[in-house]
Formats: sequence, C-alpha cells, structure tokens
Amino acid sequence: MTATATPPGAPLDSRAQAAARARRLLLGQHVLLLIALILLGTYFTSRLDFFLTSQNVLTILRFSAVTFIVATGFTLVLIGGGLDLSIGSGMAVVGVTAGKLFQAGVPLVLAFVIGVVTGIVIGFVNGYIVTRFRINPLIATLAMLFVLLGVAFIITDGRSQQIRDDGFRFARENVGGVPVPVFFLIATAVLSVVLLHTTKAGRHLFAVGGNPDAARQAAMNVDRFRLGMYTVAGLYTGIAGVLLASDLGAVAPNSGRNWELYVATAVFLGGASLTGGRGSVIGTFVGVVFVRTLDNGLVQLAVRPQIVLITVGTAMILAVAFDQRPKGGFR
Amino acid sequence: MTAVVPESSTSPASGLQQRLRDLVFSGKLAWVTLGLVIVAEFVVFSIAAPRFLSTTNLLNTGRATAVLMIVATGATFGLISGALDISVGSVMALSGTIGTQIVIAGYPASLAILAAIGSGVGVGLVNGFVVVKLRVNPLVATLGMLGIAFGLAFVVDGGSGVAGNLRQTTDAAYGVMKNDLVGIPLPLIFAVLFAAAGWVLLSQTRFGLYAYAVGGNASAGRSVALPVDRLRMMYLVFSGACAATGGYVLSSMLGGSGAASVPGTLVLTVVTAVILGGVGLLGGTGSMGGTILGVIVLGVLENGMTLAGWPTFYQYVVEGLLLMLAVGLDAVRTGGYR
Repeated sequence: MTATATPPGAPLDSRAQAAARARRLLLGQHVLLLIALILLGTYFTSRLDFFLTSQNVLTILRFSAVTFIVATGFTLVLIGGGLDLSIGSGMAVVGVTAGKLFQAGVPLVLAFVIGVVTGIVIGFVNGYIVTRFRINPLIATLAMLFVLLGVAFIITDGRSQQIRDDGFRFARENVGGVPVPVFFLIATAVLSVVLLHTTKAGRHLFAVGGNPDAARQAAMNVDRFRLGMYTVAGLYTGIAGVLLASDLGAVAPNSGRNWELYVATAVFLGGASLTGGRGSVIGTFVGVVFVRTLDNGLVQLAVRPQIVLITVGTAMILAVAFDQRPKGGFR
Repeated sequence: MTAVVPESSTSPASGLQQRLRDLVFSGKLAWVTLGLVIVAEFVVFSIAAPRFLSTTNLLNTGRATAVLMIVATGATFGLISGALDISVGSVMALSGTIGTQIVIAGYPASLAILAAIGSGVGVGLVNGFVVVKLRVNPLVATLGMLGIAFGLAFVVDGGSGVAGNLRQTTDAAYGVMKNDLVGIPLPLIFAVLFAAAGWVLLSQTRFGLYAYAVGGNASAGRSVALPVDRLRMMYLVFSGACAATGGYVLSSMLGGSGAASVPGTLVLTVVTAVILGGVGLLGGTGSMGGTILGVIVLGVLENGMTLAGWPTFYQYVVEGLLLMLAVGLDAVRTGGYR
C-alpha cells in the first residue's frame, strides 16, 4: 500500500536479485503450490475413502468454478496495480437483481443478462471512482463492499427467498456428467489467457501495474487501462454472481459474505502480488483449486467451518509472506 | 538511502516538531468542517425525529457511540503509524466471547476482563510479528487475522455460529457497563476518559510522537535510529488492546456476547470515523481531536437515522459513501492514488 518501490539500480543487490530470480524460476510459486496441492490431496485420500472419486473431484471443480471466475477478475485488477474488496457484495447485488427480476416475471435469460450487466456497471463504477477521484482502491472498494451490501439488502428488503425453478437453477445441472459451472470456468480461463497474453492491452496491463510512472512515460493511458480492467472484473463478478444465485437457487443478500477472504487467499497463493504487475490465470486456478480442496477435505473430515476460516486466513498470510520474502516485503 | 538525506540533514527533533505543528494547524480547518457537519446533523435529525433532542436519547447516543470511540482511539494510532488494522471487529468479537465464556465458567469477572483484553494484546502481537518479521503488508496481515480471530471467536463460543444463540451472564461485576453514574451511562464516561488518555498519549508523549515518525517516513525514522519495527509492533498491539477493550465494553453492556454479536460493518464505521477525522491513509498525519469529531459525526448519524426510521442497510450505503467522501478529500490533499 505504501510506496514499496525497490531501490533502483543498487549494484550491491544484483547478486541477491539474480539469486532471487533463480529461486523463482526453480520454485515458481504455482509449481510449489501444485506440489502442496498433491500432498494435500494425498493426505485427504488416505483419510477419506470418498475423497478421490470422480464425483467428489467434480464437486470440488463445481465449487471452484464460481470462485475461479471472480478470482480471475481479482487477478486482473491486481496485475494492473489495483485491488477489489467489493467482489462478494458485488456478486450479491448481481444475484439478487437477477433473482428479483425473475420473480417479477422477467424471462429467465433476460434476467440473467441484466444481472451480468449489473456486474459490469459495478466494475465500471469501481474503476471510475479509483481513476477519476484518485481514491485508494483499497478504501474505495472497501466502501463499495458496504454500499453494495446495503443495496443488496435494500433490493430484497433484507429477506432471503428460495427460488424453486429448474431453469433458474441451471448451475446445478450436469451436461455429459460435467457440472455446468465447469464449462463457465473453462470459458473464463480461455478468455482471460487470450486477453492477457495475446493482446497488446493485456501485455501492457503488466507494465501499468508493475510501474505506473514508467508506463505513463511510455505514453500509456494508465487510467484507461485501470478503468478497463475494473470493468472486465465487473463482467466476471456478474457471471459469478449469476452462477452463485443459480447454484443457491435463492435470492440471498448475504450470499457474498467472506468471499473476498477466500478469493484473496487463492489469488495470493497463486502468486499474484499486492504491489501490482504480477499474477497469472494458471496460478489463480491452482490457488482456487487448492483453497476449495482444503475446504472440501476439511468439511468431510468434519472439521468445523470456523476452523476452515482460521486455516484460510493463515494460508493467506503465509502466501503473502512467502511472496514478499525475496523482495524484502513491507518496510 | 540517498533519497532521504535532505530530510534527515535537519535536526530530527525540530523536524518532527515542525511536522506536528503543521499538522495541528492544517487540522483545525477540518475540525471546523466536522463541527459544522455535527451541527447540521442535529438540525436535520431534530426535525426528522422529534425525540432526537431529548436528554434520554442523547445519552443513549453516547452509550451506543462509546464502543466506537474506544476502538477508534486504537485505530488512530495504528493508521498514523501506517498500519490500517481491519481486524478490529473480529478482535472485539473474540474479546467479548472470551470474557463471556470465562465468566460463565464461574471465574471472577476481573479475570474475565483481563483475559478479554489480553486476547487483543495477543492478536496485536501476532499482527505485529507478521508485519515486522514476515514483512507482510499490514492490510493483508490484518485481513487474514480478521478471518482467524472471527473463527477463533466462534470456536470459543461453542461453535454454533447462530446469532441468537447468545449465552447471557448475570454477573454484576462483568456487566458493570450496564449501569449509570450520576445519571450518565458508565460506558460514555469510560469512553470520554479513554479518548482523553489517547489524546494525551498521542500529543504529549514519545509513544505518540513516534507514531507520526514511523508512519510519515519509516526510512527517515530508521536513519535517526528509531526502532521502527519494535514501534510498529507496539502500535498494532495498542490497536488490538483498544479493540479488545471495546469488545469487552460491548459485551458488558449486552450482559455477555458471542462471536456474532459484533456487526460486520463495525470496521467500516471505525475506518470512516478515523479518516473523516483527518488521519491520512498513508500514515503520518492525524490527531485524536479529529478522530473524536469523526466518531461523533458517525454516532449521531447512526442514532439519527435509526430514530428517523431508516432500516440498518440504508446506513451501510450512507456510511460507505461517507468513507469514499472522506478518502476523496484526503486524496485531494495528498494527490491521491496514481
């Protein structure tokens, strides 16, 4: 948050930097995480007969899907040097908007489309506040977290309602044995990889986040990039919000609670950096699967959800600590 | 290192004093604005809700705002020293739950209160360790702790997680904050004393002065041999202890509390009050006087909106917008996020 720019051109550090780079190459964070995931899976498999069945693996993927979609938006924003704590509330607003419209008789597809558009608008507003009013993204999106939570409660008058309609609950269906959300996961992953790595805008985003001043000197419009990335993140929030509402089969203003914690943990575990310029779709994917596997295994071991929350919080701190170590971290 | 030479070449003590003087001077304008906002709130709410101006209601407002004042005192030190501690709400929940469970288990109230506040010191130590030793950004460290402390509170609670499952205690000593002293709610008196002590601590002692030094320019602080890491740890411990004290006071007023007794929005209210009061997001600026005014603005707002019949969730929206406004003003002053 505070200026953590590394001291430029310090020759004494060059050997340490080279060592750090070598270490990062050999022990790339998502490689390490993948090993940790395999160890975790092995442990759960040894304790639980049911764990390594195709059904349970698909369940983990199903739960990973919504998290991954919103986490990918979170990753884009982090790469561009921003932060978005409002994702959970944003998903709630999207979900209740779609649900309420459907209950009011709006055709299903239209209700969902309006839900996704709501997400895009939310993302745009986040980006607009951050770039136009120069409000620190942490605070801007923390404030949005509460504004949107309030909006979700206002829309629903503070009540949760079940929606018993198979069309609305499409996210619970399987197609060819694969849960529907998994297809959305694949689509999001492909779209994001293409966006980040094959377009000029995607590659520039890393520059914008890594060193905004340098990007400005290279005549990049930093604010436009940031507005764009928040808007794309909003699109992902919209899709995730619709899927979540569909999966819950309910209009629930509370449904976004604690999502920022889970998502931030997954994304930081996946190697994205709080200081911008770094992050990857594949890393985020491994991070999300890791967090959801942890969740799934702990719940099946009958560990109480509170302990899961404690574990996730600890995992996030350790992830960031590990990430910051070679660079000196917060000073 | 070379970048800090111009600043540290002047005598460090006079430099800091100059900073302080500038700060108080520039702060006064903001204080007048906040004072006007409070006056405006009184005018609006006394029209919107006739009961607003009654003595009973004003004392009730004071009672309800006391906890916010106590927690905000700690957050002021934290943020001035450069650490935005967003775990305070969870620490309150943990502290109140530990105190309640100890007193229910039959131990004396003094022990329960000590353990409750001790839990905040413990959380602060862990936060400090993570920030200072593991070099994790305080925001992330305390975001993780937000989850951890909240989860721990549920564990101590018995783990039901149901808000209505609150176990009450009738212990008179633990529930002392339910009482009035010469007609004034005890929590209000306590909070006023607490804030006054915070004011003295911040403006008259080294502990307070160093908070500005650490938050304003940590590397300059290091170059004049300030133990920056140890100090950062101390401010996080202080912030945790204040939050835990607030948690105990709330718990005492309620006659026992559980993990779900602290509203999740509390951290928003605390951060809004502190930043509205002029504490800069980047550390190094702010004052207790500003925080007190910020707390009053929000306390009156919450009470007034409730009396005027607005549902709680409208308050989320208003407070969120207020926070953005506060930070927006801060951004105008400092150039903001680029």
